[in-house]
Amino acid sequence: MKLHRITLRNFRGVRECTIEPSLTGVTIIEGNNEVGKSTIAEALDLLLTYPDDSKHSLVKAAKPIGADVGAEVEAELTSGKFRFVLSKRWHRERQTLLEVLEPAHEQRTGREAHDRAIEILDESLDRGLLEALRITQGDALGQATFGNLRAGSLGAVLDVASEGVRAGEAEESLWERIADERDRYWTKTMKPAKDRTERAARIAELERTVAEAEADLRSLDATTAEVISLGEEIERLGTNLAEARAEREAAAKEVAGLAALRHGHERAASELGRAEAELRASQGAARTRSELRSAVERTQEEAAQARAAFEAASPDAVRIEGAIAERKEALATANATTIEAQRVVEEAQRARRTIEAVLQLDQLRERQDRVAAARVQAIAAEAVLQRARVDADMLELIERAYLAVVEARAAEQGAAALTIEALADLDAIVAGEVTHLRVGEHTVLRSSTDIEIELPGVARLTIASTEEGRSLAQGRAEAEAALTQLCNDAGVDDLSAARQALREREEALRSRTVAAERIAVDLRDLTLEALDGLIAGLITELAALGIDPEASDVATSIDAQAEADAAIAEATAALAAATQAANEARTALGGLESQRSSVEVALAGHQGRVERADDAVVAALAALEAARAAATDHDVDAGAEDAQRQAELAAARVTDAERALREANADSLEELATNAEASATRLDRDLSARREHRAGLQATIEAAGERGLAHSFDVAQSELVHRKAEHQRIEARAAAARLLYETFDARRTAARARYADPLREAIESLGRLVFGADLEITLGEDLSIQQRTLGGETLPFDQLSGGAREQLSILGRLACATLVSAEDGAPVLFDDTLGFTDPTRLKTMGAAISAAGKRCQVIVLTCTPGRYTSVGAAEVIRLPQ
Amino acid sequence: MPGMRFLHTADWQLGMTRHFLDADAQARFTGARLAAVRSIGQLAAAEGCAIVVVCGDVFETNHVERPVVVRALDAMAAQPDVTFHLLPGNHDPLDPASVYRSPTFIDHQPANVVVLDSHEPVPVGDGEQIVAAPWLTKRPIHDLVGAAISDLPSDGTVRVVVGHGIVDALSPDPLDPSLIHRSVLEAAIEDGRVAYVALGDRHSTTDVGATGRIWYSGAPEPTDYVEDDPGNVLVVTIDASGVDVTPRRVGTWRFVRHDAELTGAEDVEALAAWLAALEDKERSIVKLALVGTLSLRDKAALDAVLAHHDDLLAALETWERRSDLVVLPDDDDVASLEVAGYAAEAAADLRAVANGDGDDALVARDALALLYRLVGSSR
Repeated sequence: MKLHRITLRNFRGVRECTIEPSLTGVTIIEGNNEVGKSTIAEALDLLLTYPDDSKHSLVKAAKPIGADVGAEVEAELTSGKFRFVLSKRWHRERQTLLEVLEPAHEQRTGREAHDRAIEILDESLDRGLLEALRITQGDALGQATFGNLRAGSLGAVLDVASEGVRAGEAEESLWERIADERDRYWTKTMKPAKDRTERAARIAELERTVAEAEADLRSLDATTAEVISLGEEIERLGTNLAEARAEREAAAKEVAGLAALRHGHERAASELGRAEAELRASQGAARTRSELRSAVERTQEEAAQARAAFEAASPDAVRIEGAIAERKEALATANATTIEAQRVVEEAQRARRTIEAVLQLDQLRERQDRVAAARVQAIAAEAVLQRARVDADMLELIERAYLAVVEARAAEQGAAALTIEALADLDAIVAGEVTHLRVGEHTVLRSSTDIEIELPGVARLTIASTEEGRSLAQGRAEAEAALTQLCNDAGVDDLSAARQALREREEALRSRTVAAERIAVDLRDLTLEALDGLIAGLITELAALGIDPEASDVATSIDAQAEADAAIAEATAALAAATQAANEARTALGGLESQRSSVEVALAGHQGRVERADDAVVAALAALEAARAAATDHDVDAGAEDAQRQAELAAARVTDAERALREANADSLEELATNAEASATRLDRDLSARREHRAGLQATIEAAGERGLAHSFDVAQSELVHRKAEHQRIEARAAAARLLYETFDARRTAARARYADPLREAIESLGRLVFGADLEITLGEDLSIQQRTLGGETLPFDQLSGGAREQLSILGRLACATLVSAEDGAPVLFDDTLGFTDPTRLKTMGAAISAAGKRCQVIVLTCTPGRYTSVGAAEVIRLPQ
Repeated sequence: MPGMRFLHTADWQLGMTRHFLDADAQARFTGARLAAVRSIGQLAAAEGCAIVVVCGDVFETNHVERPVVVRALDAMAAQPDVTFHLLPGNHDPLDPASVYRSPTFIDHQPANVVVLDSHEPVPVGDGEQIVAAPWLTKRPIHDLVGAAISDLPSDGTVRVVVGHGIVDALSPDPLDPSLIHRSVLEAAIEDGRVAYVALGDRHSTTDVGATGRIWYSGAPEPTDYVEDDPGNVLVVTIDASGVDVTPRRVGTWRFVRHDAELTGAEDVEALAAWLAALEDKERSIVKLALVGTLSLRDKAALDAVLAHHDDLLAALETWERRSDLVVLPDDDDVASLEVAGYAAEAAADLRAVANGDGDDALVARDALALLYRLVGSSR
């Protein structure tokens, strides 16, 4: 739709106003609010919507203020193929006029004119678009809703662009049903819905139940088969048992026949036992008698032998006793000789030792004396050294000090002096000290200090010392003091004494050295204490030997010593000879005594054996006699022979009985009988066990039968079959629903993207003039702008600044208007927008509006003329005040 | 020769469960089997038969639920003047687990119920005997019927032999040791030792051989699709003139198999018509073998038809082994969706996969069918 012209008369505050906007391009209509710039948009709405007799509040509101006339609007429009002039007057003298200019001329009035106008508009105009493309201050931040536009305008354009894949309401409704169908079988995360999983679980449970019931039935069949098999077995065992029992009876009869034979055998064996016992007894008696007789003979012989042995051993004892007596005497003599020889040896050795000790004592005493003398000398020298401390160095110091004194005195003598010469006896008090001078005597006073001289009753003289005098006196005094100090230190009175002291000291040092050398020579390897110890030891030893060391007169010559050594050697030899003799005698005696002991033991043994042998003989004789008293030897032998015969007879009878038993095959018979018995017992036991087992199984079968197992199985199986079929059907439906949904979803998503592209591109194209070349936007399902990306940053529409939202809203409308064809479209109508837009953006928005204006009709209503100066190719209409 | 009249039946298989039945249909199926017992008793009384011989497989198994046993005994007790002679068969052999030895059976066994537990002849009237060949195990190793009649004398007694098992002439397994030898039976009939052989095991009513005296009564209620002529009992009359055997219908259920080739809407409509024409739907168990190729629309129509009849019938099965129905969406399918834009693109994607092979194609076909349904539900 395009607006060629619109005239308002008596419309609200507007008396008369005609606007003729540019058909393509931008028309800016300026005017104050009171002038009614917004009124123009309302007037157009009223004209296209309400009949002249409408009581609508908007119609009422249009009534002119202060004038008793009707409000009137007239507009010339092109919509689709129609170009027409429509005018209406409300309130008073109402009228409606329609003149269609194209495509065919027609004129209508009144209600007919209104209805025809509505018909034309409905046919050619998307009223929604008209509404969408209008923007006023109040909703400058809100986006137009293009999503619901009629297919004729934007929708048609976009459908054309997307090759018609967007489809319409019917398809969207179908889509919802497809989604609902999917939701019946699937969760949002495409997991099987709860009833499907429950159904699958129920099937699994039924399968278990069926398997269990089937197993129960199979088990029951197996048990039944086992009972049948057991029945057959029981029958067979019964037959076997009867046979075994018959065999057992037959065997028992045969075994009974054996008993007589066995009894005869037992009796024969018993008699044989008795005969053999008798035989053993009689043979024992004969053997005992024979042994008794032998015992007598043997004991007698043993007694004779013992006695002979005793007698043979007696002479040896006498001979050995004589030899022992001889040897004892020889030993006594040898012992006495040895003791004497020992004593002589000891005496000779004592004499030799005495000589040695006396000699040693003399020598040691001499060394002791010499050491003592040397020590006295050393002590004396030490005493001198203690006293005479002046050595050569000290003497030299004293000598120098002495020279210093002499020199100081000489100097002082050269200085001034006061001489008092007594002309009469007088006393002079010099320095407080009375000096009595006789006539002619004088005294010289030298002083380094002031001197006061009083001549009592005569005069008092004061002599003041001079500086030089005091100096000399002080030098002399210091030299003297030094000398005195040195002498005191050295322990001498003066220089000469010092020199004497040095000489004494040197002499003492020499004496001490000599004494030390002497001591060393005499002590040699001993200490003084050791030397004293040796001497004391020798004195004690000699005292023990009976020698007085102080009065010793022992001959100590070499000869004496040699004599003593010879005596020792001689005595020692004698001692050795005597000792050997004694040892030989002792050895011989020992051997003899040993022999004597052996002979004595042997004799005692022989004696004992003789006595025991005699006792044995007596006992043997007694026993034999006693036995013969009971039975004679003949009787005993005859009894034994008889028993032998009886035993042989009994053994023959046993042999006969054994042969009879062997011939009867007794062992085999018994084995057979035993086996028959065991078989019968075992079969009986087996039979009982199987019967018992069968009874148990039959009870099981009976119990199972009462449960109606087949029915349980059938019920479960039947439900399973139905459930499975149902499950299969539902799963197939679920798969179909899913495939349908996914196929539609993929196509729908792609279609929507294609559908929105032209609008998105148009908005971006205009928007890049405003925001820059990197602008990108995203459209939602309703074609509204969802987000803007600028400089790589993406923001949702709602979070953009007010200015940016306003600009994008305007751009969206402009883009939409540029897409829709001139005939199908509608004017973009801005009522004082861009209030949120800063001056910089106003310029670029102006460029965008200008660019859009080339392809659609843009009408801008504003009361702030400067706001739109940046819209380049615009026609400006200023409303009259 | 006095006349002997009795009712011959077999294979009641009480306690049988069919897994393709839902719980409700199973309950009706079970109820019908019990009702058949009562019907048989009433029929016997009405026909003047003092004896009913039940030739084996009275019970589906020895391990049936106890209520099945007591209800069956109760149904038989309802006709006290009719004696029911029950033969243990291969389903309910007289083994140690036999239902006939269970306390439940023994405690509730009415006087008019006899278990044929040996081949000792049972006198049932003047000069009339029943000679039974009960199964003592599930797997006998010889011809039980042949053994039971081997020592019978030819003494003028009217003997009805009651047996269970397959006759050699009808068996696909010639090595089966338990086969009943028809020649032995025919020889016994020929020399007068046996007047009639009442057999069980085969669920279809069958006259064996040419004597007219060897019969399978068939099961009184069907149990499977393979049975040719189930649902009957036989009223047998033996007299001097011979043997008269009259089948009487007692069954109320049926198993039906149907093959259909489906290539378009007309075939689907034909199938719908066939199903609609079925009688006693609540007692009919139908198995369909469907082959052919259908569009999405036709498959949707077929699904609706099958769903409807699944509700009506006792059971409606698809015979997977013999079915080969391919759903291939065609251009019209996609066009009829009347969707535009991305929806049309998605539908085309699915169709491309659906026209391929393998599991993905199956899922894609299902997805298209679902789409078809969802589009349809909004119109």
